[in-house]
Amino acid sequence: MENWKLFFLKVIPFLLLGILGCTNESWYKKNVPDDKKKQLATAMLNGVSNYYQGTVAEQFLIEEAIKFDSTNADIWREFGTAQVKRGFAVKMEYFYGKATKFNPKEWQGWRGYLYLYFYRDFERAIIDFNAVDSILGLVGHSQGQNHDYMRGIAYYGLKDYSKALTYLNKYINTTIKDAGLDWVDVYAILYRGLTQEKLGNLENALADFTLVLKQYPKLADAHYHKARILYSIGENKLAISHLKLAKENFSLGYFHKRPYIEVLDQIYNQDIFDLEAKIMVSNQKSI
Amino acid sequence: MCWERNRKFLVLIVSLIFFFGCNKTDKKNSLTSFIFPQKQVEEGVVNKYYVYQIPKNSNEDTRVNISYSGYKIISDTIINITGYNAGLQAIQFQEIIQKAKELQLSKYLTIYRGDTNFFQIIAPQFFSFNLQEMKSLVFERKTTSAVYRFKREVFSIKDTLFENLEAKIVTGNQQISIPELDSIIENMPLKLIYAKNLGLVFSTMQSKTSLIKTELIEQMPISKFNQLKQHNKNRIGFIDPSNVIDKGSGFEICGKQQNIADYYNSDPDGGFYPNKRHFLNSVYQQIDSSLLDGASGYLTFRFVINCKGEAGWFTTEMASLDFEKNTFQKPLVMHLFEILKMQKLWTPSILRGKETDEYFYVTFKFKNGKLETILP
Repeated sequence: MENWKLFFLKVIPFLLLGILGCTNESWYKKNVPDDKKKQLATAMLNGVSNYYQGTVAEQFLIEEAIKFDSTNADIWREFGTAQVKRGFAVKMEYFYGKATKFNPKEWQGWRGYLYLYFYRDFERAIIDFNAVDSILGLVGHSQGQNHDYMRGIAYYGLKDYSKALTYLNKYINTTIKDAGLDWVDVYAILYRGLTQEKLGNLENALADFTLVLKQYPKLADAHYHKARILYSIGENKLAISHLKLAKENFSLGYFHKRPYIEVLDQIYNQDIFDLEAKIMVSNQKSI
Repeated sequence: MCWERNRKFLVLIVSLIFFFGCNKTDKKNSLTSFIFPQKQVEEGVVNKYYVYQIPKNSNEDTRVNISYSGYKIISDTIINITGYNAGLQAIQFQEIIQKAKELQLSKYLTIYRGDTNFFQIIAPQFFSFNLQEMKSLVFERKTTSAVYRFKREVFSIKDTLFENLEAKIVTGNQQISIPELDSIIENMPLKLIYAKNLGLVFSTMQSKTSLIKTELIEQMPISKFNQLKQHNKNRIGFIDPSNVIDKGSGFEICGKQQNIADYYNSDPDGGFYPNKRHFLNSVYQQIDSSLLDGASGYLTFRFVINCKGEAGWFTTEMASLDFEKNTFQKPLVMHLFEILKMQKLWTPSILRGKETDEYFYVTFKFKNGKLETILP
């Protein structure tokens, strides 16, 4: 009896090993060395360009990349982009929050850009721009836009026109000093003109719209806003000539717009027609 | 004594089970045991690969993609190979037939968004391990602009080792040409390593601009792959028409659901008609402010605009002003839904000159019972 027990104690482990050896546990799997994981994660992130953003395949690839490097901010950000463009605010916050956590220098300003333009959350945008600049020790850029410029837009959105003017001036004057007028984003001058108008400085506003047109003669927005102010001060003839140019250039697509979202105080052809109608009525009355 | 003899016999049997129990009778010849995975290939087996695209230009970044190849024996002479992308979606299919001393490619097709495109097989030999009998594999693909010819040649097959496994290293060339123009587009040197029982474990192909390197990462039974496929993922922004506010409205899309574009694919963007100002005027005229009742946050309606400019399949996403999950009162949600439904016309995307179904969204941003803005 004891011999049988001994036999089974010796044999059973062999049997178990044999059975396990026949199961799927021994399928081939390559282990990626630890020192290669981060590099592989980055290359997988680059690989998402093989797929349209937000597809199932892209999601799987990003998830595989995150398995190899869950602290790679760029990967988290990539996960967030389709969410932003397709109207998922909670998910945007989650993914851009992760990206900001792991690399605030790179991504907090981009999140600020989203708060500013995609969500019109001007306070949060300013907080993000300030936070990044504080880390950098200088005025940074995100999505190709200077933080002072975007702070100016954010304060404009908050209707704090005095601060808007301060930051737009800071951006415009610094750029002129460092690189020249040609390097100033013409829309910053456009918004400074609008800010000046809100502050009641119509002459300064007109000067800014004139400056915009010097840089970008076809911009319908500058013609339209100039016409609007000229009309408000009784310069109807001049207003009409700018309105004509506004109408013509608008129809050719020369107006301020941004991909995916409407810009602040974007103009539409109805605005031009409405102003035209007002001027016509005003002219008829004066006859 | 008798027990001792029996015990030795039983131990021997157990050892044999352990060491050889997994080795099924090798019905296949040496050719197939290298080219195809052998384990459970009757049921189906899937190889997962990482595909590296390493640019020649060192200023450009290496890109890695994931692909899968599923192998299944259909009969004694037929094996099917299905290629899948990183999202486990079938993108190509090959049927290989074993004939005498060679394997032949008998069917080759690709699948893109549900559409199937066939290659015409011109010279079918897929593989022969007798180098003297190796011929070129040639197939053609007809497109709207030209007929492209793909020719794969094998120059040498040598023994090698892959992670201590017996393996074969195959060198050759892949050529792409346009026969009608007598024009060779590219010659791409190939190197393929097949390990015994695993199938293709490594390959490189050198194009003009980059080195395409493929390496086996994992082999799995089809059952595991099928489990992975049960992921319930959809493209970001997918709308399930069986779970929408306007279910039963009769709304129909013009094309296939998988071909619905995004409003920003078009230039100019699709969405509001004729533009957002018109939409805003309409909303501000119709909105019942008594329903706002302290509402705060982002109330987003996501929906589809079909190629005729009609909207349907409305669904909602709700966020607080702190970007956390949120809810809005149902009467407000339904009121805004009715306003959106009343917009008779929207702008579809124009892709390749043709009106196309698109996903769009409209977000109402409220703060303390006031409608602050409408996005995008």
